[in-house]
Amino acid sequence: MFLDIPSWLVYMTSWELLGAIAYTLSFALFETLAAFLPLLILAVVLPQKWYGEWFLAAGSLLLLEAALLAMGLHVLILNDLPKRNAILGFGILALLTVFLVLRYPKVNRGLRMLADRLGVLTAIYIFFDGLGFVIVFARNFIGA
Amino acid sequence: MAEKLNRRGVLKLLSLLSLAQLRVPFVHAADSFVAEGDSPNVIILLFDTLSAYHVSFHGYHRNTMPNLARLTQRATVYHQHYSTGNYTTPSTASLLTGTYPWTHRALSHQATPLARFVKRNLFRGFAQAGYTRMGFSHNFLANILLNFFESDLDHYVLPSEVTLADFNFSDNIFQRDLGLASQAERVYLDKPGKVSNSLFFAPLLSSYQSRVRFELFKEMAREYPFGIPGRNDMLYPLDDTVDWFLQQIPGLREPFLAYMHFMPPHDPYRPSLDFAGIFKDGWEPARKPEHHFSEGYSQKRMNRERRMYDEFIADVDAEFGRIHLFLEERGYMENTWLVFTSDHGELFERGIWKHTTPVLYEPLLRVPLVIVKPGQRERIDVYEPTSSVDLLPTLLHVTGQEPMESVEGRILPLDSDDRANPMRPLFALEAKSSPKYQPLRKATLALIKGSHKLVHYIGYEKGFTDVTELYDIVEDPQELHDLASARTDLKDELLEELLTEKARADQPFMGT
Repeated sequence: MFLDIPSWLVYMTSWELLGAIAYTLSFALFETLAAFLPLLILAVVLPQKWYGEWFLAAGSLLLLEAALLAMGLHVLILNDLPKRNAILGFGILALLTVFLVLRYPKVNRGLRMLADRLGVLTAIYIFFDGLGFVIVFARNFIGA
Repeated sequence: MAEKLNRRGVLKLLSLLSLAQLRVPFVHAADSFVAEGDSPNVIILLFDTLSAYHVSFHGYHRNTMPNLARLTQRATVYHQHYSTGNYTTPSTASLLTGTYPWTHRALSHQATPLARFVKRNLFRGFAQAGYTRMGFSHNFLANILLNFFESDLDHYVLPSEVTLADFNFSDNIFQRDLGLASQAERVYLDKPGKVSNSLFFAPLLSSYQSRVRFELFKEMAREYPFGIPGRNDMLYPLDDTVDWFLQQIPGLREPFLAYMHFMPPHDPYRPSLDFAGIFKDGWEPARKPEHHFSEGYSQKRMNRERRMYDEFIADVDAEFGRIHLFLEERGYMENTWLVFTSDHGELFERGIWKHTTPVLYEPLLRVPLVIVKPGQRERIDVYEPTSSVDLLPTLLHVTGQEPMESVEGRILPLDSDDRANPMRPLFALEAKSSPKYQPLRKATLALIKGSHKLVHYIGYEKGFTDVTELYDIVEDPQELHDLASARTDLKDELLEELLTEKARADQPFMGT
């Protein structure tokens, strides 16, 4: 998006520019929520005793791995290459992740520390995404 | 041509049977219309990217448009009709506002005109006379414009309602703010050939689209051997859209204005089986020198693409023939102004293919314009240069309405006694890199006056800025001889006129 802003600057008013950025942020918010949704569902569905500290650590690492998988898929799609192996690889990696977190407390602790630090960044990110959503709402329901 | 009737063909015929039920009431409606002398209907059929240089009755080598040629025997044919730009946004906005791109300022991709044009457009013009107004476009750029004018449309038809598959979501969700929303959607999700900004949605969407395309193609491969007509964002077999349109017409309260902006023959060129390969004739057009803005396409490649384009035009012509036959059989031609045109042309020369280019050669700017008056029987030929900005004032005039003050076009000659001023200056421009609210910085400007055309490039990289080309388009319609050095007096005169007009258009944006 930020690569496109210089070109938007030349033919948009400030309100339009804000709107274009707001849409992009809103799409990102929606995508983020969708990416977190499976973990949230698991958290709701799984028995309370299963949902412990290991879940936060494994979930955070799984999301990072899913992001890496998505990047890999982009490259595979661009080069018209088969994607099955990458998806299978992710499945194996996910199992390995859960195993490592459950087996090694240090990994568990390290990942939770990382998640805590990323949480601060996420809060800022979600604030701007939320602001974007408000602007999108205003443009569509209050008047462009 | 193949005579086999496939499953889709049978279904199509069955769908048309439902129209037969509407025949009797419609004929009565048409009769009563003629008797009462109400306002005539207006149908604008715009086929995207159709260059007049590829139309058989304008002298093209291949017989691309036999159905349209038949219609011209009782129509007004404009032989030198110019679009105001070389791609959809500026040229369609000109057609719908009656103003040049430097006035309406829809210059870049997905742009909309200035806010004041919300109430100064073709559809608003027809509101006071009680017309039912319908607008549809396959082309998402034109759809953004229709969305901009939506308050003046009684039936604003979304592409998803008509197309086989529409992969855009903005037009369904953010209709009040489509221009910006679709721009953001494209930035976020669509990066053809590049890594997308969206981490998770883009590969999912891409996989979904591939699957849908593959399944549909499996089903329709016999009918469309080169793929189903469509672009990245949607699939649109023209025959389906035409069927849909023909089903809508009887349901429109008369008088009506219908603006139908069909995507074919825009690239990718995918003619149906009946037209695939019909122009494998070995013909090669005259070679032209490479331009500074050459994209490096070989002549061989461009000839192959040209052939496919011509075959796609023949396909378009067959569908136009179906529309015309329908209108004829149902009596609509007696009470309807029928307009056939395009928004811009296509180029296959000088190393440049398609139309995303700074150049403004004739095949890009000259588009067909054929107008049939209600009940017209004779052919009228207009050879004076005309512009797409003229369509709005003409249609308002012939339906007894006043064009708005902002209009820059003139009323087109429609009778054999009418004459256009052959020395009237016409303008066209390509300025997608220029700011909307500031003076034009980087642009190609063209002035067509009499038999001459001046093209002036401003703001491009060193070595190709303030370059001027001058052509005698009557003596040299292929634009092979640049007269800028030989006719400096004429060049200077026309350039001064062009730059004066540009300065006038830039005036409201000076100091911004």
